[in-house]
Amino acid sequence: MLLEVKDVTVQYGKVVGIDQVTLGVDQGEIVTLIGGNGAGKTTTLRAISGMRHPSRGEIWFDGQRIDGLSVQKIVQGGIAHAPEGRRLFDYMTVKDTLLTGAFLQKNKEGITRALERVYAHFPRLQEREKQLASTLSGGEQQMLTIGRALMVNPKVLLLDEPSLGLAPLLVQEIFRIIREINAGGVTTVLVEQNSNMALKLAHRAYVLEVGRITLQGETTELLGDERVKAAYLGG
Amino acid sequence: MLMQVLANGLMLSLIYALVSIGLTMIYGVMHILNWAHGEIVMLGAMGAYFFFAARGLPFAASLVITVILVGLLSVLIERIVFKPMRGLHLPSFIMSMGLVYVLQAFATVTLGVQDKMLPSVLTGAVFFFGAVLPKERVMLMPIAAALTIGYYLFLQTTRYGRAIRATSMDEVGAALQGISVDRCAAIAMGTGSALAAAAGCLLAPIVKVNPFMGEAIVFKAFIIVFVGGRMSLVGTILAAFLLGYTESLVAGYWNPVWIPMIEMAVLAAVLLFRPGGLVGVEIKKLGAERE
Repeated sequence: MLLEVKDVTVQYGKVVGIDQVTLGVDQGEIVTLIGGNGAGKTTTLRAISGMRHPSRGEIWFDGQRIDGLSVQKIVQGGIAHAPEGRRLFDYMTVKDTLLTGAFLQKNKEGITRALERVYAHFPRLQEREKQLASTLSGGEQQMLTIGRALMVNPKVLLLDEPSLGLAPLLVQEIFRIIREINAGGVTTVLVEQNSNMALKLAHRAYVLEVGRITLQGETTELLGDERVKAAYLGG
Repeated sequence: MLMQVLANGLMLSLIYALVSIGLTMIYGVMHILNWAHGEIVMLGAMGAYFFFAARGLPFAASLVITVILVGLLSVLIERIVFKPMRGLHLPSFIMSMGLVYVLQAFATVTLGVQDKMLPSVLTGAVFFFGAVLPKERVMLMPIAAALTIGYYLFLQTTRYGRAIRATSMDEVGAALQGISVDRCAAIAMGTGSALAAAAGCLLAPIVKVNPFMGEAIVFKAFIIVFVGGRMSLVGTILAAFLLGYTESLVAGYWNPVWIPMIEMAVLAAVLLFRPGGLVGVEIKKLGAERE
């Protein structure tokens, strides 16, 4: 396993965000976490990227224990997080935002190559290179969020609700690009409310309910599972 | 008369820009209203007095040494006083008010309360379309302009410049790119204070240097920060020119005693019509979660 979350509990004060969650991600996979609002999907990603520290349990990445490390250390290790709410830099141009994504890289050629790769996935971002992030459409902002995370040259990409607020056609486009990025060798953990699309894209899935994992398996099986159908796929 | 007013306005504007940029950076990155920023200017002027007047070093060397020392001191202040307070707006503001008195006491104990006059750095004056400009005042203009432009380029084009801008716009987003918010805070405080110290050095030959000279300056600098748009460097520079020229016009054609009143009116008018300041940058996640 490239990434392993073992028995992890995260609390916000006295409120339990996730409760003894265990999951694993293999090299090259797309794994999706699905579940309703407040199920703990975002919290799980935050625990992995170091934004939240678990009160119990362990997180292992690439043979190293990473829970308790700072966000910076975890990014350095190769986990990039395209977070909930996008967290873009409103008054920064698209190009500067992407260059900020390459903050940890000091090698100029490496940065140029990363930039070219992002522009290959998202030609739209190249067209808008000089525009401020706040002036982009929702879809373009989502592309910028993913692009900025890719500039880290991550081994694992954590995506939090990339389809949120986007028109159906755009969602398909974003999902196509996620598949493309994954085919390029980037292991992906995808958090989604759009369970139908997420299950069709991912190799494996975990279903979270009120902070606990209630179901897991190959997406092909889960798509046929009666409980998943009833709760997440609209019957 | 007009030419004199315009020339004085330019000089004031450049000095105000140099002082206010630091305040904007410290507010933008650390969300701290650093009322002791005026005392940083004062320490810069005291440094010029100490190294240039008392120790007899060349003025340029005094400026460089002072700027470096005050920059380092301010990083220390950031670590000890402001870092534990980050995200706590009112307490950090009160701490910065306390710092005013601490730094004034430090200056009083080391160099005394009396006004200090520096020997002339340059003598003579430049005559320009009827305006009389002492060379000491002319000298500060290119230096202040170069420092301001240099700082702008640092923010726009370098790796750490981008990191600092990113941190000021979204701390969490910046941290997720591997940027250390702590380091950006230290750099913003160190460089911003260094610019203020440079302004103090440049002012030292033309004003009275004493431990309390920072009080009036910081008030103007805060007006500039809020008129300009709090987090925008371009806005700060524009506002510095607006205030610098307002001041020279009021002093030239009316009476200098009304300067603070007019400046407050400018601030009120700008905030009424453009609450975000001239360059309307809103701080959307002021004091982002402390994690």
